Amino acid sequence: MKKNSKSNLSRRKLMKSIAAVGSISAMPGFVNYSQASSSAPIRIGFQVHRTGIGAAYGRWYDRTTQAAVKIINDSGGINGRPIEIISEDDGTDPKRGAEALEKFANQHNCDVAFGTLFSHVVIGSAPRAGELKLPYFVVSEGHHVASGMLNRYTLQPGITDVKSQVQAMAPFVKNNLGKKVTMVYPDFAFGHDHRDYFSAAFESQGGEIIAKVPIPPTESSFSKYFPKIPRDTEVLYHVMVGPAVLTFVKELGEFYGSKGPKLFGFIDSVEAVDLNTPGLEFLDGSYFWEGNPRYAQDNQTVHDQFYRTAVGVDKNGASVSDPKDVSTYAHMFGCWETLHIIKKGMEVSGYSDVKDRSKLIEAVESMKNMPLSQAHPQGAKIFNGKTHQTFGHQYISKMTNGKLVLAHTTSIEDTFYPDEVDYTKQSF
Amino acid sequence: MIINITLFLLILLLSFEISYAHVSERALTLLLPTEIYIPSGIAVLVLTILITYISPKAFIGKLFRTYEIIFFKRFNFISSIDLNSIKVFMSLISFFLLIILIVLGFTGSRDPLVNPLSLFIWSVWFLVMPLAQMIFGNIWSFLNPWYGIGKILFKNNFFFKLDNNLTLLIPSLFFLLFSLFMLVDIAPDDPDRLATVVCLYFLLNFFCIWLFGIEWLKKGECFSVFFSMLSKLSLFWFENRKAYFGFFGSQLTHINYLPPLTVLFLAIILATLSFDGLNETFFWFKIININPLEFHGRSSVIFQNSIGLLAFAIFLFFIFLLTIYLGHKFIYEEIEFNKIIGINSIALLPIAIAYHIAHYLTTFLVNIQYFYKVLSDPFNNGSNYFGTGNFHVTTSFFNSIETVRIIWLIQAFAIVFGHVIAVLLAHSISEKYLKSKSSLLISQFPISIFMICYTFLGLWILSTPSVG
Repeated sequence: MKKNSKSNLSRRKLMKSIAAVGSISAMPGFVNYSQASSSAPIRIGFQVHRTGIGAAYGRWYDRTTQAAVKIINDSGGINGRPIEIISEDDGTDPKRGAEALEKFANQHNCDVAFGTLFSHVVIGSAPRAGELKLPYFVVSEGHHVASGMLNRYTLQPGITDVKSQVQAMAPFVKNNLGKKVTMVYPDFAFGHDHRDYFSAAFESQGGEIIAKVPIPPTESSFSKYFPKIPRDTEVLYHVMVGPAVLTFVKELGEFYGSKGPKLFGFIDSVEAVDLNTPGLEFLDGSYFWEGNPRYAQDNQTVHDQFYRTAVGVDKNGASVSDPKDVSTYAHMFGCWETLHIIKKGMEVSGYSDVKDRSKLIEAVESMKNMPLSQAHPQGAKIFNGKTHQTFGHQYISKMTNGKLVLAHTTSIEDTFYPDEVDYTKQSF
Repeated sequence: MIINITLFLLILLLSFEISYAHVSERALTLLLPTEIYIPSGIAVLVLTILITYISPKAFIGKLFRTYEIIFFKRFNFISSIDLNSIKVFMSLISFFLLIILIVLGFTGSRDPLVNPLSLFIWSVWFLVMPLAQMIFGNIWSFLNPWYGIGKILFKNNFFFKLDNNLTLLIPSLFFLLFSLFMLVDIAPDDPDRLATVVCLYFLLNFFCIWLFGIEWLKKGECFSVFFSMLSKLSLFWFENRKAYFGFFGSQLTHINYLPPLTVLFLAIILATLSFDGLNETFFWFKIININPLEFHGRSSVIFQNSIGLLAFAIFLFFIFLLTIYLGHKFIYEEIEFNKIIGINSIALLPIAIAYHIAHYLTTFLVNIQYFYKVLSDPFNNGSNYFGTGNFHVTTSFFNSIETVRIIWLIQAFAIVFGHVIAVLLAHSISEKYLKSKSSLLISQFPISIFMICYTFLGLWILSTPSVG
């Protein structure tokens, strides 16, 4: 049968076809577009922390991204075209981050770039995105997008920023935990942001910051700092990070026993850590901000259920293939949601190729309400097209018997602050 | 341009929310009672040293007896010519595999944890090969990708002859360049970059084989020289068509001399394997005045780490020379320093391997899973040859204190055991050329101090706060 079909082709025709296909395919970046443009993949450059200090996050960002792409492709892709992910390791390094964007634009012919968490990589990469005129969708939580520091090509539509997260904690802390707060934070920019954002928001609520205890970043023993915490402290706000964070918690427990102030912290301190680790019992009863609740709650939405199943995360926030492999659940949803926003933006703008990049950005800028849905399993969001930053619900969970139980969900309005930039006024 | 750079620097200065958020296994390590573990490890070494001191002369030497493995006599029918053919054949297979890997490096996935070249070079070859050499002998002489193609194309011809003593300068230089690539370069994992480097390194050595003959592999190519030295410490080895077994270093009973520059080569290797660990500690970040919680990646420490590595190598070179010199200065026997320094420096090898195991164990545990996945889909086209397509890489052993404790103890055991071997080896080496027990004791005193300090350094690196 094969033989017959071959004999129907003239040799010259066959050679011509081979030559034509060969010459087109040999051109760099032309391989995928040699098919009909309607079926050529949408190429998304995924800037990912594969090595360096962000690698643990990168692993889960990758897993979430692959899951989201599979869901989108299985349901018809974007405008009928499948997504193709091209991953480049940024080494959690701003210089490499910028190089990755150059490769996406110049070597891999990507339509857009997406990804990465660590702020210094985003800040180092965004100027190149602007120069390359490459839409750069970041999932970093940093306030750098909404602060006006970056450019029109950089957007953060799938995850809220630290400034809004921190200030949204203030009403809950004041109304439920106490009015006198002592803040313990690492003595550098990260800790200073928490100090400044929270104290401003808390004091505007009528609360009082009675002491601020900065800890040197390289400190590994903390007992000597605890006497600086005033006795009348009702709430201890802690945002310690780095390898000594568990030592901090353990020593705090040893210092206070069962008689200490109420504790409030950010899940970042124990992200991806088994909360039943010996030494962390002291955290039981304390409160944590969570970007997305690690444990499936009693009122779990069908969307969270769907998202967990797709990524392969169990009801305790760990991998289904290894119940001890705890995910970075508080952050990684941002990849899922951002990819769905890129899909929607491309569909609304009728995106066909790189010449439509500005139309895509305008389409995303014009988005506002993002309802709780399969595309937004973390919760509803309101996107601010002017500041390129999304705003959404924040979660406060209480550690109860080694699990995080949702205690409060903030309103989206709790996270608002006045615009600091209008990127739409910048030209393309 | 200047405005752009200034703006960029300003932005970096203004950057906040450095999300140093992940809790690494080091956080759990800091909860372990290492203040008990470290002295215990050092106590084991001190005890070993005391045993070597109080035992009668030649007692330690008995540990290094060799035993022939009779079973292998069955394979006597393999003549030396056949053995050479096997070597050529296996080396050719390596050569073709290397070409495939290099092509995949250029054309495969850009993700270093999906690209077969990056995973193979950094997580399999570099991590496993030294250990394989130390257990099974010089299997690298069969597996290196140059021997087969070199023998076929150049036979035994050469244009220049290499000097036996000075040639160690060449592998020293190459290993140093390799170390700088591994520890300092901004992206040694990047498949494109790595493929280029591997390709150039292969061609450069191929060219040298043409110039200097196949001897180049024994004297010039740094990994062949390194692996060949390691094989001298192996548990099993082959010699004159016979197979032997003996404690690490037993083969050295027949070797009385190594070129003095061996100490330079091994100092660079040990410095590399020690510095890759030291450079992640908060202690090092204090020295270079960088906040470890705001670490901006490898591009921000290129100069500091280059200088650090070089300084550490120079420091080790001189400190080891001084150790051997002092050990032999106050004895009543006449010793020619040049003749014994090379062979004595072999004691650095087990320490280097101990650091190698301790430092790369965690990387290996994670990356070997990625490699397992890649074997199923080496061309990144969705194939699933071994059914591992849905396998998810896990790092859960870093999340619980029980597994972190086991990992730490394995690492610490490697450090202590490596130093115990080094102490015994140093003792047995000196035993061969020193006549009296008192000379032997004096000769071993400075090196014993060195070993205790280096054990402490290794255990301290494992337990101190670090980045990543």
